[in-house]
Amino acid sequence: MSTPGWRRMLLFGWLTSAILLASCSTLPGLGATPTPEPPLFRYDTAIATAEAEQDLAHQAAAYLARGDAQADQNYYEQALADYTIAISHDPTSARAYNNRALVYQALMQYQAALVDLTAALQIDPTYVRAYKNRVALLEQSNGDQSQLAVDYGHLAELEPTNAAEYRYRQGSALHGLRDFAGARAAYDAALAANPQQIDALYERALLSYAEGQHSEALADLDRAIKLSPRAANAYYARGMVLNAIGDTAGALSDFTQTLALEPNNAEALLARAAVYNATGDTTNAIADLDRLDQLTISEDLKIAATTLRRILKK
Amino acid sequence: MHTQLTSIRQRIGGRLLELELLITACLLLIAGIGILIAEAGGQVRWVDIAIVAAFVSFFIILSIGLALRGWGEDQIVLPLAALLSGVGMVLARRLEPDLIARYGDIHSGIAIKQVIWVFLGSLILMLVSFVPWRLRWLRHYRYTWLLLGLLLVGLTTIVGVERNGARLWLNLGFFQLQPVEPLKILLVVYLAAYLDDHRDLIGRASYRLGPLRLPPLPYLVPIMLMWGMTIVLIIIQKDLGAALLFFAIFLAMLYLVTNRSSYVAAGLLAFSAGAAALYPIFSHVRTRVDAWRDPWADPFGGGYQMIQALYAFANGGAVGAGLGLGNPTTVPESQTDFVFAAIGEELGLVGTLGLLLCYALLAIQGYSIARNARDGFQQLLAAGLTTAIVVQAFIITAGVTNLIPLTGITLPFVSYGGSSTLINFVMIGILLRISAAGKPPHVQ
Amino acid sequence: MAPRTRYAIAGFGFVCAILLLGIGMVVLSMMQWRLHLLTSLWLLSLLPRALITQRAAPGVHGIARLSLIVVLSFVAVALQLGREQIGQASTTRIRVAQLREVGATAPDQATALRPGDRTALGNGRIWPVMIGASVRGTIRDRNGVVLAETRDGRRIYPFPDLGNIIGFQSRLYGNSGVEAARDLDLSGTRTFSVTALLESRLLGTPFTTQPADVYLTLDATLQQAAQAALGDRPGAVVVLDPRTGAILALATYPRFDPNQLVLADTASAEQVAQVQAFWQGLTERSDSPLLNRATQGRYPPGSVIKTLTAAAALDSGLLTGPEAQVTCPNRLNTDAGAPPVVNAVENLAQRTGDPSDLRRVYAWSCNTAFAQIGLGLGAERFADYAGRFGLGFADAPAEPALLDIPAEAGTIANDPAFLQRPVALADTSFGQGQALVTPLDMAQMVALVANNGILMRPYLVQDVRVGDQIRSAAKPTIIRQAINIQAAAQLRDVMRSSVEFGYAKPVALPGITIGAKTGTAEAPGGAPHSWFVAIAPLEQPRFAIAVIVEHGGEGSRNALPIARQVLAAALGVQP
Repeated sequence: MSTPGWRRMLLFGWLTSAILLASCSTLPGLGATPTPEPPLFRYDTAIATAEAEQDLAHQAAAYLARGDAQADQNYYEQALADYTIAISHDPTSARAYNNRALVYQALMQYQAALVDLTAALQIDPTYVRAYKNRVALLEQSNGDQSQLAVDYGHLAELEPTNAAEYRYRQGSALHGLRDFAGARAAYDAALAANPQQIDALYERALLSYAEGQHSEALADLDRAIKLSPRAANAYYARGMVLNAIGDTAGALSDFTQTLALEPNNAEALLARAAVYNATGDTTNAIADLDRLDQLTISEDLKIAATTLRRILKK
Repeated sequence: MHTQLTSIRQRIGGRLLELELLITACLLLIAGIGILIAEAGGQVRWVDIAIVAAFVSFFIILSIGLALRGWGEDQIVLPLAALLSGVGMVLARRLEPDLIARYGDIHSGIAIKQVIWVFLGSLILMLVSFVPWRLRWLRHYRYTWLLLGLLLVGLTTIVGVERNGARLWLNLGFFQLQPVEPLKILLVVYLAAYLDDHRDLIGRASYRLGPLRLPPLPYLVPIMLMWGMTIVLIIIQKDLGAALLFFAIFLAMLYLVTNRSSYVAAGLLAFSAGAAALYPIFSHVRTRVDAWRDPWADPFGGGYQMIQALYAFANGGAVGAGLGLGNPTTVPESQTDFVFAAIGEELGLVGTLGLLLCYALLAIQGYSIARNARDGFQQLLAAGLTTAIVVQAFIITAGVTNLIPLTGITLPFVSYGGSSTLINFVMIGILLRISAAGKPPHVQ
Repeated sequence: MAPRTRYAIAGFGFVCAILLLGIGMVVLSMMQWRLHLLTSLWLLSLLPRALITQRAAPGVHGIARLSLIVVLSFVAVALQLGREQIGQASTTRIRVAQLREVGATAPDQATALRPGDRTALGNGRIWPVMIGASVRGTIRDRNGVVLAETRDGRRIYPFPDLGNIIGFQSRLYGNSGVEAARDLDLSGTRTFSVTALLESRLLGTPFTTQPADVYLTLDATLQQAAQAALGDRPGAVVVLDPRTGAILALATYPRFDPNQLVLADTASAEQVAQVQAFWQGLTERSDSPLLNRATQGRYPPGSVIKTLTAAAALDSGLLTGPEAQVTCPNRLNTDAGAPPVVNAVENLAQRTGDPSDLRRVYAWSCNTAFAQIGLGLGAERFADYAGRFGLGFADAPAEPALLDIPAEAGTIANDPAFLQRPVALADTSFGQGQALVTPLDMAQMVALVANNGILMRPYLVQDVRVGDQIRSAAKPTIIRQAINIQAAAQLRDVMRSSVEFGYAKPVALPGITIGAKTGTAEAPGGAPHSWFVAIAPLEQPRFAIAVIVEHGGEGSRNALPIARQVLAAALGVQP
């Protein structure tokens, strides 16, 4: 090398910089600022590609993907439009129906959401996510309880790992509908799946109690209390059962335990006052009623308290 | 005749290792293709046959050719490159139907295209290997090469095809060239020549800037320019990957010449400072760094690709989901930048470690070629070329696994893409030439 | 540095590196892991670097180190892969799964509370308990005729004229009358079990209250007769059974129709408005239609109070009997400066004779005679006897004798001091003064006369039945023996005379002996009130009646015919 390399280097440097700077339309302040790539860009391109090729399935998939992206960014109206197009291109897409239902739910159009979920489930009766969404929707909007029970049943079959919880909820829905036989079956199934499903245990105990099978109710409640020693309402329920079979001492101790865990439990106070009255312990009964007066309670409890007071006065 | 045959046998025997390795690689490919055929229900497509045929014809024939010429090139580099490009072909074949299903027919034919690229690459490799040329030419005309490279880049910036917000491609009709790729070689050549020329000066004297020791001022300037160019590349071309690669190559070669890690430290510092300065200004830098730091913060925006990649890796587990049984196309750009994620998902930890091992072996072999090179220039050239390949591999694999911020460069040999494959084969060719211990002096 | 130390440090660094990596594999934070990785890689590089420095030829150091760096970088990637593909695989999968769990409430096993930590079990449902207003007992008369019932959740009163007695049950205005007094029985809340209610809330078992039917002592036919007789003249009619105190009829006018105040649960807004308008009208009327004049109306008694005075005289011995001599002057001076007592009719002595006797002065209602008797009794004795008859003083009012429905207690004067004045005592004795009595008081007065001097507590509710079972029955209670049997018998005789030849003669019914007294009470703001009291049949009195017609003029004019009609209906004779 003859000439010092650095001089040549400098020359090159100048030339390079000149060329590069010449094309720096993207430098800030010297030209248009580069627009950041919009997050939907890739979806738009996918749709454009799909539209170009006229394949309905691809178009449906492309619109579905964009709908998903828009829904996640809370652009619900646009997502709705995209999902509708996706469905029109591919009416067998259960996922499109399901996702559109979610958007409807976000827009608070619960009826439409339910219709879509039903459609999705018609297409694919094993679509777990759609069941979960429908269940959530019905729970939230306090909808058709029998449908809720059926759905929980499906979920229990489709997702056996959570079968216990689903069966319990199914039982709960049936219980609310007063289908006691169905509720019992569901609770039994829940406990078969998970013997420590205490909610099912507790509710089953209540069911037995309502049907007059006090010993079974007691057995279930004993077990529930053993598993959850801090559950106030379990003690209360057991107290009621003991009272029903005549064990007033046991009932008293259980009600006292309930109040120890939950000092403002109006029902326990009232129940304990009633038991005191039945055993003739007027002072304690009145003390409990006085304590009850401090609380805000519902009408029927108020009437009961007044009646009890009147009975005690006599 | 007898002696001729003996000499042929001797020569082939001389490159027996390479042949054996190539055959092993070929068998691996056949196994992979076989799996894919089995999954397609026994349907054998032309491309399947083409892959195997290509492998056999290009590489094995090349190997035999090299053997017959008898210059004693390194025997491990070619099988590695062949294996990697074979994996690339199999992956392209595997991804093609899924990509068509997901994104449409623009992806149709990528398998056969990759085969064509590999064919062209091996063709170029053959040219580089057998066409008589001199390494000296690289050294003499270094400025020409460099200027050519820069011109190409400049041209692309002005009239190039815009894709994903950056102009990285030059449309040459039937074929799209990414000029940054040839610039790689040209830059390496130039740097090797320059540093070799000024080896003593740069290596010896030093200029102190506080606790740091820097090369002497006259030589600092060109180095600074080098740094400046990379930064400008980031700004204008938005090609963070190329910038990082060039800077890494430069630092590696500088270190080789000066043996001072302080220079490397200073260089890294300068690069980080530059990147940090650019972070708040340029959104594309910001997106990349934010997605690197916590992809979960924006799971459907900036972090989407990374999370999909991580999910793919997680699904791969130890032994992978199985070739053809995973769902790699959920990761965007799964055939180019994110092909490593596809390997991770389908071949598992075992597959990815194997791939990394290939690159590591390539690195070791390439550096050992550099060590055994005949003169300083060749040493630097070999080192630079090796660094170019393996550091690119490192950058993309580390980016895909979220070790460093993601940059848009391809995995050498494996990614689907023309210019990248071609240039990599050129580099392999030059490496082979450098490693030829038995080459006649006039081809130095 | 000596090679050995160098190797030692390198070896130690190697071990530290392995430890760091192991820890880092399970660390959740990416950045922290990267730090671990960097540090451990640097530590790992100590050994190879030491080896290079020691073993390798000088010229090769650079290349060797460079290749070391490159290999270590790949090791870093390999470790990162190890972490992503194995170490953090499940975490990543869960996180990605959670990303798309929009709207689904899948039970999350990981975050559900363990049974031991639960403080409430089950779904916490409280079953709604309706303490039924829609089921309410009926109110019937003594013979079972329905006076009030609930049909389809709506209260119906087949006899709207009984509104003031039975009361109403209105969602807006509450209850009144028997509906209010016996609300606990009618609604069934008297007998409900607190435990049953709590069970119902807990289990959803149906909770039933047992409404009871209230049977009144009223006789519907007699009541109708009383109402018909009273017509549309403001006033009241009270018919008692003197033997027990049971109230057989209780008529009052003006009345209101309780049906107009009933609102079904599903009432429309205009129905509500109608009821409100009706109520508005009732409360704004000046003639107080909501008042039950029979038990709550207080009027000056007029001459009927002479019965009390006579009873006091006979019982105390002031007069020995019906034939005891009493004079009936035209004028009687009491206090100096006070106007003299006069009779209603001039020269009454013509009728009564002079001297007269108790019988005749009672029959002809001689004020002056009774004024003398009152003065003769004296304030204390008179007040005492008034008290025995249930009439106290306004400043310390007695409890009304009737407990079943709201009633007022009559008063003989505002305060005892009033009677101390002779003129006041005199006036009070014959029917003026400050006395204010209810028709029920007057009925009681003659009832005790009929009942051998025993004052029975008047009661309206005969019994409370659940179905056919009587849950509680009223027992006739004696309040006190107000006057002795003899006096009562004598007074009965005197009262007979009032009907035989006195002012009460028109009341006579064929075949029945009746004892009665008319009364004309001076009333401010209009004609005097027309009073009439009677007991029949006199031998074995079964009925005691008191009638008042407000501003009805003379007793015989308005009140008497009403009483006659009612007694005829009661005794089953044609008037």
